[in-house]
Amino acid sequence: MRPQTPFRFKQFNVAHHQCAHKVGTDGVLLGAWTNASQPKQILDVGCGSGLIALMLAQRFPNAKITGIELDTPSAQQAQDNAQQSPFASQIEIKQGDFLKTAFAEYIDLIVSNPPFYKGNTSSGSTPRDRARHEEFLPAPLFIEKALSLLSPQGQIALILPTTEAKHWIQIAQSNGLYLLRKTSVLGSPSATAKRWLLQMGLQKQALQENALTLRNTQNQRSEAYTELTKEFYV
Amino acid sequence: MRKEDCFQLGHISRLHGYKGELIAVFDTDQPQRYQNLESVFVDNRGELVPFFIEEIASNSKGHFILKLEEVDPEMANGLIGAELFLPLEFLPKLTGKQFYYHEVIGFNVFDKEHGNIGVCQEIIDSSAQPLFKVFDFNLELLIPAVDDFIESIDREKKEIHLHCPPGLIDLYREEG
Repeated sequence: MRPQTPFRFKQFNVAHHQCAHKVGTDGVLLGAWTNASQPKQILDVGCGSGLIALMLAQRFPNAKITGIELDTPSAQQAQDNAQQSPFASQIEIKQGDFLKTAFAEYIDLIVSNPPFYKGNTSSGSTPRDRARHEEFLPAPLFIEKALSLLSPQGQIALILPTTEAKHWIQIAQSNGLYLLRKTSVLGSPSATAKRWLLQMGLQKQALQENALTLRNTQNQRSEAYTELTKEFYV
Repeated sequence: MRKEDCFQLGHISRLHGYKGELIAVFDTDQPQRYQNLESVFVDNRGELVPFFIEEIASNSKGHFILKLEEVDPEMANGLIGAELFLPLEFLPKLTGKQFYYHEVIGFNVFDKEHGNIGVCQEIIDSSAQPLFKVFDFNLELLIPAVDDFIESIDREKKEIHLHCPPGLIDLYREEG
């Protein structure tokens, strides 16, 4: 017997829609993990369906959050998700290319779960994966654009696959950014790190480094993960 | 992340081979949307547990073969039947007469002849065709949620507009 499904889709024809976006739970981690002290302007680059923007709106009630998304259907979806949420007045969604878009105000926090190409061989050839990834949003251009937008206390928070993370740290540091927080994300205590959560800024601070394990040895949700995400009603 | 903030993407139906791979069935008309799925919540006794996906491939039936990180054959066995979830925001938006069942709960229901006939309380999907369960004070109406009866869905005003066949609503009203 099939389990009963609470959310079913009325099965009419739906136009084919190829979503370029990443689908998974990374956004939840980034939205919960990123910290900031009273940011006024937050920018979510490649906001997809708006999950991170909604989480940050809940966490920072005095912040104005702009989500920018290249893919028109995703931007529309983010817009709808924001409008239907209790945080509609805080969130603005723009459709467009981050690299070519002008922003009127300086940004205190830029967050991104950047799109990247992932083939079937996820651990395979790094340079090739990266080259493909960089067709979407090259790290040097992202960092350069971000630097032109950040306020003096501004910070950037990212979630990246392990191989990408090292590359991004290098680019960021060579552009004068300091790495402030680095959390490696492991599925279970015996797994290897699959993602890195990174936070960088223009002001130097001591680097905080730690690890986040999502599940315990019994494959239940870890306490650390539960603690991190417990407040979200998005 | 709570279950209420997620939608059920599908479930694990069975093992694939003997190396801990699993067959997952996704409740969607657009399986291609999830071909790059990177991680997923697995329901473990009401708790959503995040797993990274090491490999995902679709088979000829439109089902997916999943290799979840750190899941060995023994553990895979225990995951059969487990429900899979993702944050609600990932649901593709539907327009026009298409809708998600959870989306229209609480919408006011209007009939072309009878005007407002109540509020949509739930969608009952146990019979051959799904039914709108419409509640109006003490009267419960069950109306087939079929394309022919649906005129439009107004998401802004939270309204469902129907054109029920003559007599259907009177039938319930006379009984009540």
